[in-house]
This record gives sequence, C-alpha cells and structure tokens, in this order.
Amino acid sequence: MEKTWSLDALYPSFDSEEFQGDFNKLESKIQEVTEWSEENLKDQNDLTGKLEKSIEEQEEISRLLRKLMSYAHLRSATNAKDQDALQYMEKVSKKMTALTKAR
Amino acid sequence: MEKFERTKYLLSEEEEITIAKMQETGSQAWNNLQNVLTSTLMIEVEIGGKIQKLPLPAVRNLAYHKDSKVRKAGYEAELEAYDRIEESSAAALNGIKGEVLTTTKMRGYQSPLEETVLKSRIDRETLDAMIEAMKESLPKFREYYRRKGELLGHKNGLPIYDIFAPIGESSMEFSYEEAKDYIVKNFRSFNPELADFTAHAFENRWIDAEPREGKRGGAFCANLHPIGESRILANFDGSFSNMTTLAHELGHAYHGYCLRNEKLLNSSYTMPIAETASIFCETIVVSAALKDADKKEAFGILEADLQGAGQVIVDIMSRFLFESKVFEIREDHALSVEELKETMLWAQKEAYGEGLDPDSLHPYMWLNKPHYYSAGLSFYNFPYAFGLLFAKGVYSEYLKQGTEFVSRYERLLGATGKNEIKDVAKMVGINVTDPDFWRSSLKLIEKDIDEFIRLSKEV
Repeated sequence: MEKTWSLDALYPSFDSEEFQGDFNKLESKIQEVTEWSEENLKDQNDLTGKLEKSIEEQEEISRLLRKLMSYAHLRSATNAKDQDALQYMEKVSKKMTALTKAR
Repeated sequence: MEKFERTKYLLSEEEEITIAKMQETGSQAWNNLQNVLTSTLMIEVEIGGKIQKLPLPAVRNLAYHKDSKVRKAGYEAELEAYDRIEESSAAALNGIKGEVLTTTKMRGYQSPLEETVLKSRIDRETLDAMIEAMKESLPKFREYYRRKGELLGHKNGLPIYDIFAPIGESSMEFSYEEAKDYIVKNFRSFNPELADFTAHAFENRWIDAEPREGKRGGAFCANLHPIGESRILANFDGSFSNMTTLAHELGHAYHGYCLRNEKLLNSSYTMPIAETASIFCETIVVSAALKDADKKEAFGILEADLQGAGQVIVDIMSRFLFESKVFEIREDHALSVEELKETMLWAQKEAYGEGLDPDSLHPYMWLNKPHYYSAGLSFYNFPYAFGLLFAKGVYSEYLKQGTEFVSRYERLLGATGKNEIKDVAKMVGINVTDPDFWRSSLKLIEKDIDEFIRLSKEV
C-alpha cells in the first residue's frame, strides 16, 4: 500500500495543459462575468433569468477556483518549499479578489 | 434562503464600505497588535535545572510535560510574563469588543451573540437548550477533575496547570496496514458503504500518511468536490491517537462523499456541524477499542478522551460565561486589567467549581486565546461544544435506532450544505431545541467518567 497521496486526479503538474488550461479559463470567465454584470445589472428586466445565469456562472467559477487552489494547497502541504505551489496560491487568491470587486 | 435572511442585517453599500475601512484601522489593527504582543513574548522558564527562554506557545505546551515540576514551572512563568503586556492587551480587547457592540447594534442585532448564532445557522432556543444541559453535567465533570487531582497527589481539586498532565498511557500500537484493517473492520459494523469507501481511500492513494521533511504537521482532510474525491494528510507514527485521527479525517471525507451530488455552492456547511461526521467515525473506533482493550489500555483511552471532552464542555462554558460578561460590562465602560482578571476567575469558578483547586486558576486566559480578539468571531467557542455533543447525540441515536439509522444518517450529511441545523437534525429524529437531546449526548460522556473513576481504582 502506497503511503503518499497522488494528486493526478486533480492535475498531473503545474506545467500540464490541464492546469494551465483551467488557469486561463478562470481568467477569461472572470473577465466575462465582469462584463456581463456591467451590461446586465443596470436594469431590472428579467431578474429571474439573470439570477439563474449568475448562479450558474458562480458555480462554474467556484469549481475552477476550488480545483486550482486545492492543487496548489495540497502540493505545498507536503513540501513547504514548493515555489510553484506558493506562487500559484497567491495568483489564484488575487483572481478571487478581482472577482469580489466585480460584484 | 439563508443568504436572503442575512441581507436583513446588511446596511447600505456606503455604510458597509465605511465600516470595512474603519475596521482595518480599528479592530483589525488591535488584533495585529495583540498578535505581535503574544508572538514576540519570550518567557524564561526553568526546565531540569536549566533556565530556558521560550516563546509563549512553547511554554503553554509544557502543560503536557511528563514531569509535574515542569508543568508547574511553565504555568508560573507564563502568569508572571503577562504583566509585561496586560495593559496593551486589555486596551486591544476593549477596542475590539467596543467596535463589535457598535456594529452589531447598527446592523440591528439584539446582541453580538445573536449575530454569531444566526451566522452558524442555529437559533437561540437551540443554544439555550444546549447550555442548560451542559450546566447540568458540570458536577460530573468536577468528579473527573477531582479524581485526576487525587491521582496526581492534590487534595483540594486539580490545579489548572495539571489539566493536561499525561496519566495512564495507551500502549496500543498499529502499523499503517493494521490501522487500515482496524478502521475498515469497525466501520463495516456500522455501514458497509462507509467501510468500502474507506478501503478505497486507502488503496487509491487518497492519503499521505507519514511525516517527512518539508511536510506540514497535524492532520487535515480536503474534500475536492469538483472531482468527487478527498485527500487526507496525516502524520501517522503508529500510536493509538494517530489511528483515531485517521478515522476522524476519513469521517470528513465521507461527509464530502455524501455531498457529492449537491451543487458546489450547496456543499459548504457551518462550523457547528463541520465535525459531526468526523467525531462520529472517531467514536466508532474508540468505542470498539474500549471493548478490545485491557484495563490499563482502557484507562489511558478514557483519560485522553475525557481530557478533550472536558475542554470542549467545561472550558468552553467558562469562555462563554467570560465573553458574555465582558460584553455586558463593556456596554457600560472599558474593562480594567483587574476587572478582566476577576471576570475570568469568576467564569472559571462557575464552570469548574470544586473540580479545580481555587488557588491555582488562570486569570489571564483572555490573553492567550486569539479568537477573543477577532471582531468577526465573537463567541467562537460554543460551536465546538455543539460539534462534539451533536456528533455524540447522533451516535447515541444510532445505538437506539440500529441499522435503520444508517440511511437517515447519510441523508443528514447530504443536507448539511443548505439547511438550518434544526431541520437537518429532524431528518434523523433529533430535536435540538429539546434539552433532553443534549442530555443524552452528555450521558455518554458521564458514563465514561464513571468508568474512568472505577478503573482508576483498579489499575
């Protein structure tokens, strides 16, 4: 029985296409939501539709955030000197702040 | 619904922004000061004839030392050191508690306690029922403390510095493989699905088991909702308590598993209920071990368990009383150091009664618990008691209901991300607003105390 965990189910590495892909996707999603909010929250038309759309987007962004953040956090938990992990934790946190501002 | 409820207490955007900005230079600044004061406080203490200079957390850890002289020396050195920072800390505490009173009033809460209660998805009736039952159980805990005092040679109750004194070591040991088998076997007697889930976690590299360089200490479980899996970090060294820690973390993982079909946004639970699944699983293996253990081992297991329960019930009670009283006085005026010390001693006497030696209490406990200094975490104490007692209560419900209980329990865990605790509890037939529910949890601990006292006369 192996006594170390495998994080491959999240991502194979920080350099992998999967991680980089999700990281870029997070960036563009946040951009998208920010623009959408500015455009659509000016008036009160179709509030239900907008609320649904907004909840869907939140879910998607939360999923990406959770996945990216968990990977960086778990990597650093077993190796405090993992510089990539530390950097990505900071980068993902910054994206979270950008998102708060957008709302 | 809950978010909706909460908006009732939101102020206008402008007011909220102003408060947030003022807090940065108000309560947050006081909090920073308190952190600096306590983390740079170096304390001289004599250990084995040599004077050592240690930071505050290290001195407080001496409470677990095998040698009674060291425990006492640590306590005395700690109390002596506080007079260097007491005035500044008291100013910080008064600043923070004063700000909390102002903001909660502006928002329309009746009190800081009401704010915490609502944020935790509990209600006042539930909290009152729990506190009432806790108060009734205090005399039993005092018997435990007095007995522990006697075993350590104290006639007039246990001195507070001996609360964590190690007595009756557990000699049960496990290889990692044995720990797995023991946990899976005992989980199976509750629910085969939990056992299979656990075996899967062990075999599919969900667990990082042993200490190594660069790895952090302690243990945690991360539930990875987006991939429907969990990861557990542990520092397994083969001891009994390490084995139960694994069971505890696997309980968290199973909680995540029961939430797998919920939307991510509906999968986060509040603190009072966060420990239900973990303590439940821990209780399964500890109860099994008590049956398998010889008298000496059982005594050690019980003592470790009661040490923890005493903190969560009795010490939390003292903190709850202290914080309530501080808010009450702070409404009227800022508290002096003397008043803070008196209030703490009063709260400890109320909670521990004759269990502790009245001549060696700890008037400065408000100086070393960081949560008193967080404006956002008022009364960050009763959720711990709630967590333990709710999990124990759920366990005693399992003992009563038997196998029928298993599927209800899973539905309960699955509902924790989006419901009021009261309604979650109803799903397994528990009424948390009834003191009797809390009494039944406490009964389990009281039985352990009786057993501890009985065994203490035999081993």
